Amino acid sequence: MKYWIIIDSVQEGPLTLEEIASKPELNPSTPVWHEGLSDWTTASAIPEIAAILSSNNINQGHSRPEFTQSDFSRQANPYSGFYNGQHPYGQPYGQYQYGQPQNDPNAVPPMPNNYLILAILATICCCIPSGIVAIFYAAKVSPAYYRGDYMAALDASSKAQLWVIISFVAGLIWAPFSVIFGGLL
Amino acid sequence: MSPTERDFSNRFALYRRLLIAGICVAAIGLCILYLKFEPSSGLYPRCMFKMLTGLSCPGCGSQRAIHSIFNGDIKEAFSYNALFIIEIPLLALLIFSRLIGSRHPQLQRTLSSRFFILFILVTIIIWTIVRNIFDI
Repeated sequence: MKYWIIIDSVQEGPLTLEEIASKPELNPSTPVWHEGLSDWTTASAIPEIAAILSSNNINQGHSRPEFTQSDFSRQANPYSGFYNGQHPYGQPYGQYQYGQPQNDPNAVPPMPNNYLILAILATICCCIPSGIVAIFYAAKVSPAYYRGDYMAALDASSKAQLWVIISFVAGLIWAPFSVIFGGLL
Repeated sequence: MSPTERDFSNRFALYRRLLIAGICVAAIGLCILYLKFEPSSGLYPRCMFKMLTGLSCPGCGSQRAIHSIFNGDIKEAFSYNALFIIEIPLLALLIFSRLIGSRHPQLQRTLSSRFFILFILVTIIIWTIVRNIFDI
């Protein structure tokens, strides 16, 4: 997913999550927008960016010129505690509502969508092996999320989404051609 | 918020609505196609995989199966694509879990587990091999 942010009244985007993480100016009230939102919101209201903010807080005091994915998973991060149903911050897993204002930087973001339903439909309806790839990436989302590696879960989620889109676009382009050349002629 | 920013986000909201409207129209169109027209009419889209390789893909026969279900013949539908018929309740369960999953975290967790999804993946691959060997 791509994000647009406003820093010092200048709009920047499309940016990936990694690019946003590397912005030193990022703070909880930075205006952020992504596709699907009807309006701009703040960085703290978007779970995955709030996750970056909270990890930045943990890293404060060290010089950290670069934010890398391995830094994120190596540090004592707030998501690792809820693996066995234990939740370190009192907010029971599963009751999190997307879109609800999240001003608590330690709030656990919901699991990224694994697109399993669309991946299965793509495999059955679009008749190309790319749906299989989408299911393969769908399988990687949940293990990474419960391991506490949110960035890896997000990465698998966006790859699953990409392959679902590839499958459906290929299927939609193909379908009219196949009717014209396969059925009618 | 400046007017350009507002236009920008409104445009994406509009695209989203147009996409949803398009999907609804396509779904209604396909329902009419499968309900009113026979597979032999030549109006059903053909499988890309089958036209290119000559082999059946995991989804081959689903359109004929939908046509059979719409006409009340589950047995015939099963003979066109058994996996598709089996996967209808599975998809219903997945949609159910997505809609009210927050009230059943254990169900949601099982359905998104690596074991469960890889089981589906392996089932689809084995089904594809078996149907091509035995010509189902």
